[in-house]
Amino acid sequence: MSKHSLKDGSGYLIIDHSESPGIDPSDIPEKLRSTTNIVGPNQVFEADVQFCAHCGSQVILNPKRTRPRGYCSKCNHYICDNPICNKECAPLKQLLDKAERSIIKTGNIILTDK
Amino acid sequence: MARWAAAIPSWTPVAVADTTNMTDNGHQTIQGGSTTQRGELREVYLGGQAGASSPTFMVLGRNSTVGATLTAARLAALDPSTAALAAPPTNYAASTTKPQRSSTLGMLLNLSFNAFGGVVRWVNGPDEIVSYLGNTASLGELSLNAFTGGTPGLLGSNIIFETL
Repeated sequence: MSKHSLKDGSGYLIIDHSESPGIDPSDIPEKLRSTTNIVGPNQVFEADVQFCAHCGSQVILNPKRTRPRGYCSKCNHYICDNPICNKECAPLKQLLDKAERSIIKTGNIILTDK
Repeated sequence: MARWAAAIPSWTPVAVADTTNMTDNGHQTIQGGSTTQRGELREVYLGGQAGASSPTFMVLGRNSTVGATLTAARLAALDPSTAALAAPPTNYAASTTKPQRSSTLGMLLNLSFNAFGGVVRWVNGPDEIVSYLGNTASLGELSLNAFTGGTPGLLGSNIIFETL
């Protein structure tokens, strides 16, 4: 089936703090600051979600984002902000296919091309 | 193929750092049933049950060390006509060899919320893939656990996935 928009086939995330004190930004661990949705008290966050075509981590399509979103023209898919994923096209699906073929052929996961 | 529900109705996550042994009953992990089995996540639901404010930084990701000698938790097919698998995947929270979250692949989903009244529901898109493959590190397990920080609180979790 053809894909009309990059958002086609997105997943869905809801964080419902309508009856909860929510998350205070100061509580968020340093390593999670860039990926945590700060949903305050009595707030509900809903967004489309996709996955980085290269590493498989979550990409939340935050409608309030102003920076350009990562995109791979070879995969025709959103990618995350990780610099490694923005450097070259290395799709996760290709890696999984390679791992699956390797398991079937050898019984082990061998990901090198040799 | 068949869809399965892996639920743990009430548990308190124990926060751990990457590549550190997880604590029994402080995580929820799904391990593939055989060296070739592939399964895809469809939905993750977390319902907070804490009695006081509990910022809980839940992450779902891959393990660089997989559990061994597992104590199986609930796993039920969604469709009553689902045929039994010769090698079913295992939903577990306790094991002799403890799983460890990968430092590179350990955070595919950030599901942070407040377990005092908060609810998180993530549904995978039809074109997206979050899968496990086999039953060895680092692709053979997907685990739901708490990242270091916050005050993890009591919650109930349900993971729906499909074996392929």
